[in-house]
Amino acid sequence: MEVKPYFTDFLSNIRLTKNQTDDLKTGHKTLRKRLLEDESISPFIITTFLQGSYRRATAVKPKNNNKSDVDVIVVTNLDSEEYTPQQALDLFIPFLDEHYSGKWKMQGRSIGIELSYVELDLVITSAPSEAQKELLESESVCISESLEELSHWKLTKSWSFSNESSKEEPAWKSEPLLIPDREANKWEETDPLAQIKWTWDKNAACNSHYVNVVKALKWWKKLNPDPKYPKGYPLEHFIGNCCPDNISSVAKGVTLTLENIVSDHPSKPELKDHGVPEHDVFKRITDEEYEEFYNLVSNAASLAREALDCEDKVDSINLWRELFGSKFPEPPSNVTTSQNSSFTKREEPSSSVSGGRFG
Amino acid sequence: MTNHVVPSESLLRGRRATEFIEGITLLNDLEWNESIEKWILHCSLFSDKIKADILPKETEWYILIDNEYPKGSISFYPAKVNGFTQTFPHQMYNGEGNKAYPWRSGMLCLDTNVRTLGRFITNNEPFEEDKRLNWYVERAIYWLIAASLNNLTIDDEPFELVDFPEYSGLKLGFLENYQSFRYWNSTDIKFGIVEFSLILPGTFLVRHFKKPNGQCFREINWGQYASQFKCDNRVIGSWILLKEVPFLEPWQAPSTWEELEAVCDKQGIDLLKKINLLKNKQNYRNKLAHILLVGFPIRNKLSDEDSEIFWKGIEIPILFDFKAGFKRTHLKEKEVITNKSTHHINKYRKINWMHSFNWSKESIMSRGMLPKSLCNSKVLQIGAGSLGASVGELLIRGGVEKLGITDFDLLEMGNITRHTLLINDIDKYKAQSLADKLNRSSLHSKVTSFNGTLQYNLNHNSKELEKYNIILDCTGEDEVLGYLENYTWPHPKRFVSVSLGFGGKRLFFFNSMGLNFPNEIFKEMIRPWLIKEQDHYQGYTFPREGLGCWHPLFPARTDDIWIMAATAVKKLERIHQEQDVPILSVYEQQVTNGAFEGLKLVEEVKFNG
Repeated sequence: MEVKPYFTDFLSNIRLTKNQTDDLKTGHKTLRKRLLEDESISPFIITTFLQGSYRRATAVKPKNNNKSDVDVIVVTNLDSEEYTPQQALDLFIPFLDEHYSGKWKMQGRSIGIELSYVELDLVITSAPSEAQKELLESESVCISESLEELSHWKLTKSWSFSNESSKEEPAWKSEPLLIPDREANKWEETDPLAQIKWTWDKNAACNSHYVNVVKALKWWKKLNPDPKYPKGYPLEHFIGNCCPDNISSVAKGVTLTLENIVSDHPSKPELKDHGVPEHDVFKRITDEEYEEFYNLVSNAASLAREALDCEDKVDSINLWRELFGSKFPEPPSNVTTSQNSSFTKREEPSSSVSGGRFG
Repeated sequence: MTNHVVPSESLLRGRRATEFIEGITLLNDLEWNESIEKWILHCSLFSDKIKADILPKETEWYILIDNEYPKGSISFYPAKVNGFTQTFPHQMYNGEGNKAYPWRSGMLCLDTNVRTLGRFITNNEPFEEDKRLNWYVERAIYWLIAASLNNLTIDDEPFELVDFPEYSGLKLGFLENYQSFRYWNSTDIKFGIVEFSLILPGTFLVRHFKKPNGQCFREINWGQYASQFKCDNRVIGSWILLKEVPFLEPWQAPSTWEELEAVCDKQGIDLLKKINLLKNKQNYRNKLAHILLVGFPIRNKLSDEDSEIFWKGIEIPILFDFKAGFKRTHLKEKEVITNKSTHHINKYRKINWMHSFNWSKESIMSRGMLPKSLCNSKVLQIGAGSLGASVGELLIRGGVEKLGITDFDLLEMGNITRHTLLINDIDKYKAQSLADKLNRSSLHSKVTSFNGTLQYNLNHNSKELEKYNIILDCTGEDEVLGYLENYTWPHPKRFVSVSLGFGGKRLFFFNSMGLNFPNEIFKEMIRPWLIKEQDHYQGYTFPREGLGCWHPLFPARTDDIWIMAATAVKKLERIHQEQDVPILSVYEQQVTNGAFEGLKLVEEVKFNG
């Protein structure tokens, strides 16, 4: 059974809390303000915007009290021909030391900033094309809201948060941005806006269930940490490829996605990234890891199918709970298996007598 | 959009449990409405058993749930879209409702009192989080089935009036009972003029029913308090008596003039014609309001015969011109002159129904009332001290209408430690202040004060005093009993003397019948008890108030006084069943090891001399 209210509450149990998302927004806004006010760095900054699972509304709560993290793209006007990735990153060091002393560290493709309440991943890009610049500075890109918080959205330069009747402007095509790869010491292509836009469109095609299917399955994967990969964005991308459109519930979406993986991808597929088709999202995943993952999915797929087809609500809820763990709510305590439609037991006398007293 | 208030886990459990009811589909998840401070659950309810020609098998609903769930209220309102527009029994008036909300006003009555639903779902409301919302949802579904099958009421349940949408801020009190019902049945007068008093801001009391020609034929007999108000001549009143409750099927109050007119027409009554006839008799100059009383018979239980008239008030904006309203004819010249702010109300205009109440004694006092024999007695109470004030108040609130109070004393500050009067009564006659207070304690009481000593009043007001049939002494003064012994009443009286022992620990209740008070018998009977009393206070220094002249005070606390006053009333309740021989009853507070155990009747002896 689809047990929709149970899925609703499961999803709100695994989604970032309001406090967590408020922290992300505050972290981002503070960083952005500091960058634009910093005399040495501001001449290089065109704009900053949020990307990552938070922005796409596919983030789930971090486990074990970890902080939630958010990716911030910092678009610079640095020419990738003139600056090496290292040189570009080095420009930010005085700024980081001044505002985030002892809290930042260089990572492979980004600068990690660990605050008391949130982790920011700064991803620096080289200068975009003149045409892209306009789009990158538009409200549709710069807002701090995740896709789920928006009732309407379009990747255009005229889109506005407050105005639902956006002008009839066709969606813009984003271009890949260049980000530094420190180890290889070269600039790498990435297109976060294409990922965001793809997710928005897919979610619309899935009756707004898509991002919830992703969250549910990401949570399922967290409960099954072996193998370690795929997780995060690669897992999300794969789910996106396998989730059918027009699903009527999260329960169906989850089941069909798992089943599609089982039937369509017995061996590791090549996944072309949105916006940068040359990139294989699954490049780093080994065949062994994939095989282990595939077995995990096979078991989950049959469990999900059993839960979905189960005619008894209590049994069905317990099967979903087996798949998704304790964040999936329990069935009501006073209902036994096979008691489907007649919920209120009538034969049992009430244990407490009410009324009969006056004041 | 994000909710700033998050539903509690209890509420989520309740909401999830609805998944186990077949007939409900949630259309929208719980949403917090800040302006009414409720959770809103938008859903549809379905049952195949609903008779589709009366109600759709599937209808949409808004459930308003308290944030304190599983405590607090849960209410079901039909949606404006895909709901229904009729009003059934056990439902509030199902109007359009507030413009700001997507639900109509016709809240369902689903609580335990709607016993008809108990045939399907137990009438015991559960308060567990998994069960409570479901209990309501299931009852709502059965409510819909029952409504569609015309099954919502059962014959032996109390009659429930249609729910009138009360747009008027004015309140109306009338007085009707079974006696007056028979009177209304016997008269041919079915409409006329009515007069009101304004007894509180916005609260009108019906005073006189008059014929269309202005001749008074029924004066309402209210108590002293209401009678002091004159009829308000700034208000025009009309009345019209219908043959039955005005309602539209299934059980909806007429909400517009057009609806009311149609309902009257169905009963063979030409509402407009009668109102216009009356209109011509009324003087509209300098008037503030026009109130129309619409009367109709009602009953106690659904299966009973009609037994009472109910008057529902309508506030008509003044100078409302019915002809203009309904037929759009020209206003008369005279009306135009006084007609500065005429509202041209058309027939689609909503009726301003007033909050209307039957304030008859039977109706108000259905909570609890002394036996009729005592209520109908006329009690002359001697003494308005702490005991007398308490006994008097218990009698008035218990339903005694006619009470006379004599006392010569003025109220002092020290009195109010156990007197029911107030600081602003100080230095006034106790009898006068108590009578005023008791007249304000009941719409039906007629309390008269006789300031001065009993002797003075027996000499000067004997005609007045002789109207009373119970002479109730609450003074504890031997002197008073002496006067009573020496005064011979023209008719036999019931004499009762109530007094307290030391510290209010004993109550002496003496009861006899005759033309005089049998003081010698009383003294003889109470003597052994007074000897016992002496043992208590020998060696005791009586408290004094202030300095100077030695005036001993009688020690007892208010709680002692009240419990004994209440006991005295319990005795008075049965007084008319007693024989005519003198009887002395003694009650005593029982205390063991300092713990109060109650009162005990320690003696009840009849005089056999």
